[in-house]
Amino acid sequence: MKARILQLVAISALAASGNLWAGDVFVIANAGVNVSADDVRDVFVGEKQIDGAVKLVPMDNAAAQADFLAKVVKVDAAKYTSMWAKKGFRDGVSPPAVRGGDAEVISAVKSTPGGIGYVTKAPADVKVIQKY
Amino acid sequence: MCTKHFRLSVLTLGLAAAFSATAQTSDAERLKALEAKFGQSMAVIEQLQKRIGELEQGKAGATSPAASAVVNRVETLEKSVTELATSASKTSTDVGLPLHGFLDTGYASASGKPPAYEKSGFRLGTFDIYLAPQFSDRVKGLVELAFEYGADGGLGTDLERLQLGYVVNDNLTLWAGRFHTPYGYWNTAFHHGAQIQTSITRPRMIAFEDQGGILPSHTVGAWATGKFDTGVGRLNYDVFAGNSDSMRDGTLDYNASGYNNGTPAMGFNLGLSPKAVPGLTVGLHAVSEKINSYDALDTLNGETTMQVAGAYAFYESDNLELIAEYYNFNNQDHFGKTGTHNSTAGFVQAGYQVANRLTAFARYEKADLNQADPYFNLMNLGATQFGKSYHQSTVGLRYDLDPRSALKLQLEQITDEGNANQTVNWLRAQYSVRF
Repeated sequence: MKARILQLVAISALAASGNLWAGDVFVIANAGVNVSADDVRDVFVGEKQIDGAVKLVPMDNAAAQADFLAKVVKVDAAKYTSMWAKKGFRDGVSPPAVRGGDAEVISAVKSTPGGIGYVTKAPADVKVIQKY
Repeated sequence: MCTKHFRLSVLTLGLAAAFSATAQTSDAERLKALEAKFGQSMAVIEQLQKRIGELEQGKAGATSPAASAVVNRVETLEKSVTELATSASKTSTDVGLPLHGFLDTGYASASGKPPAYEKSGFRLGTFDIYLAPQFSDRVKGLVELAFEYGADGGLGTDLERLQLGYVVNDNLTLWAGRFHTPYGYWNTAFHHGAQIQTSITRPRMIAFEDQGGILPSHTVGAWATGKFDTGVGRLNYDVFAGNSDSMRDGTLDYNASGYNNGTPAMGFNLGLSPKAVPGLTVGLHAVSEKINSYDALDTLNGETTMQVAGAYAFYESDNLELIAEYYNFNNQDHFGKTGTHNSTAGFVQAGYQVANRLTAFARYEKADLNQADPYFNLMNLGATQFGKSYHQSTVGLRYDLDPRSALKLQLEQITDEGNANQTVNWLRAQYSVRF
């Protein structure tokens, strides 16, 4: 009985930490974008700005940012902000615009040449670069 | 008792049945009437079935327009949402040019006898603003303006950067204008960004020109920068050429409007970020330019080819930051023809996040500047006398109030040849923000 209680406590703690049930993140892109999954991190930290002839336009999704940063960029939100502050100051590159949620990201990615973003559910009519 | 009642009931039912049968068989006309009534009933039933069919058809016909209306409304709503989202996405990029910048204010207190140019007390730091306009997919700009009070209390305004760039691809961006000279790590990474640098002060050897700096921290010219991925890691490069500085009253002048001695400044910075150690960059850098010196009467009093080369390293992880830079000068005196003079300078700084939002840092810096070298000697004509050797130890704490603002406290101990080799301790505090 004690072991079972301990098990439940451990599971609850993990769930509370947000690690156990972190949702899927789908990186989506405008039809004209051809970046690979290996490039996604570079796109979102400003290291990759051009894809062939297309200027990339990365977009953050406020509703999925924590999961995306943890899984793809491998930093927390504070570090991400700090990285962009330095990048913007040194290279004059603007950080990704922040969209409110999946619907807004999907709409913007579809309508923006070079658009690339991430959502929590894979839409059927948008190019999916990678699922994390 | 029960048996008696049962028998009576059976007898009653039997008599009733016998009476009924007798009545039906005796009345044939009544049978015909019943058949007629049955026929009528069947006709009514058929009529009712027909009517139900009509009603059902009518019902279906009546709901179809309503459903269409709902579908139309949903489609219209969906279209409106899409248009609004598209409009919002366009609006967010078309609302104008974001203004970014830094602002800081602070306090400093010295124990011992500080040099005349630096006083204790509250002080205004720098108000630095910058814009990064994106003119098209490939053409962009960077404009930075700084307002800062000097040691004499006068307000200085400086167009720190005025760059126009063209992004050829991810491997090459070309810039032209006035830019932060790309040597080491600190000068381009932090510069006037007090909030993004861990410590309050930058190392004295890379001080800004108008604060007595011994290196040109800005260049007017052209700059190519980019990166390549190699098997070992990412190779970052900077190559630049620009106007040679001149020196007036001991202060370097970047010569915004052309050469004054017909020779360009040139330099490079080559950094490798190895895959094996994420967060680490190690590099080499060099700057060479011919610098003419003038006294207060604008008379030429020096002509030096300043040649500096060195190395740097930068490491950053979630809670650790390490920066080290080294400069080796080999300056050639053309005016007094005293030959080539060697000097060195360098610093190492470490910052460690000891708790949430709290970072402890320490730095050691040392410059051995050859006073036989007229380049450094003539710098001492200025107010700061940064052309002389010194060594300094610094420790401090930084507390991030939020991602955009920081409180810092710093203790320094400096021994300065320019201050009669006295040792002075400084306590500094700073409140800095970025926006």
